[in-house]
Amino acid sequence: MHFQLVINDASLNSLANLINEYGGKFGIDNENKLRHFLAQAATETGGFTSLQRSENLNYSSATRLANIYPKHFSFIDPLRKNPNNYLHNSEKLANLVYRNRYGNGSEASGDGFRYRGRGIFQLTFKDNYQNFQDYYNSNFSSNLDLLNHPETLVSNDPISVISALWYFKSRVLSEISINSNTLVEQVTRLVNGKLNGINERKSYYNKTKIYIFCQ
Amino acid sequence: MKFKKTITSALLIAFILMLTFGYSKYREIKYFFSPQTPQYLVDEQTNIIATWISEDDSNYKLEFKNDGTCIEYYGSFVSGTFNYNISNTTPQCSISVLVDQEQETSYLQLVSSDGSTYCYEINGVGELLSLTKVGTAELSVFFK
Repeated sequence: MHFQLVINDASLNSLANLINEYGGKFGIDNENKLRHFLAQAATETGGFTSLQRSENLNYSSATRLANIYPKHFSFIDPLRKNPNNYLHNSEKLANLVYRNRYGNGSEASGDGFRYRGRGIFQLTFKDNYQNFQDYYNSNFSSNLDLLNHPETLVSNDPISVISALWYFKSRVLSEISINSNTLVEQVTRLVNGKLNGINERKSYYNKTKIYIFCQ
Repeated sequence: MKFKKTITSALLIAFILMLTFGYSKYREIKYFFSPQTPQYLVDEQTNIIATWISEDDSNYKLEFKNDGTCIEYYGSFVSGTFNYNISNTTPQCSISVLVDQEQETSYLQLVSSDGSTYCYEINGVGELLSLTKVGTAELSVFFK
């Protein structure tokens, strides 16, 4: 399968080339799967305006931090952290709230910030970085070292796109069989866990029907 | 005399039946309020019962009912119906998760009628319902 964009945009054509080269290896082997992948990826990247996505861990106030993570933060409970000490400190915050999860070590390990959300679908946590790295290296005879260079997911556009293909394969294609009847809602729940902004995803999906053709 | 004996036997049988029935009921109640269920999980099971509106998109709502069902709305349309449960067990959606009573970890599972299951770590259920999709950092925040 080879797909072509009917709009002339250098960065989008570069994206098309990457998907043409790698998509099939990640199970994107027909028009329906491609359309759903692109609709989700376009929404996550604001219409592919930038592939260099990194998680934003800035919260507006200490109260908000305490309301969102009440199991971690409290102004009065001495067993919990004071949110004032974590506000506007992304590194400290990520190391606390992502500790001991999905392969990450303790707060002191620094894994929470090291393996924060990066790439089109915001790959997060050491296990996910490791699993993507292993898949990539074994399928492309490479020695990508994401565990020691996690920033590669942001600085290297091809790796960012390929990480999204891997995410789509492992989180969506492994769960549902995509055909022409598959709803955008079904795919969105698997990618994003919720239906927020579903209209935007549907709009991108409809655009793929106009602008993308597979040969 | 014979009548008295019959009455005594009937009373004795009734007493034994009451004891047996009472004990089984006691066991049921004891099971329902298992002392092994931590208080924070009991609180979350109660506090989640409400209609929650997404902070990012007010069209998106989740209504948790006390019969164990969750209705998902987008605008005025029902976009999904699920059975839900809250637990502190691993794995969740085939992903190994942290289970730590000290950190009060807990997980919400939504199961649709076709068997599809969606799992979230509960960051908190209070003023806000704060969930993170298991295995990701995708955060969803709702208000009542």
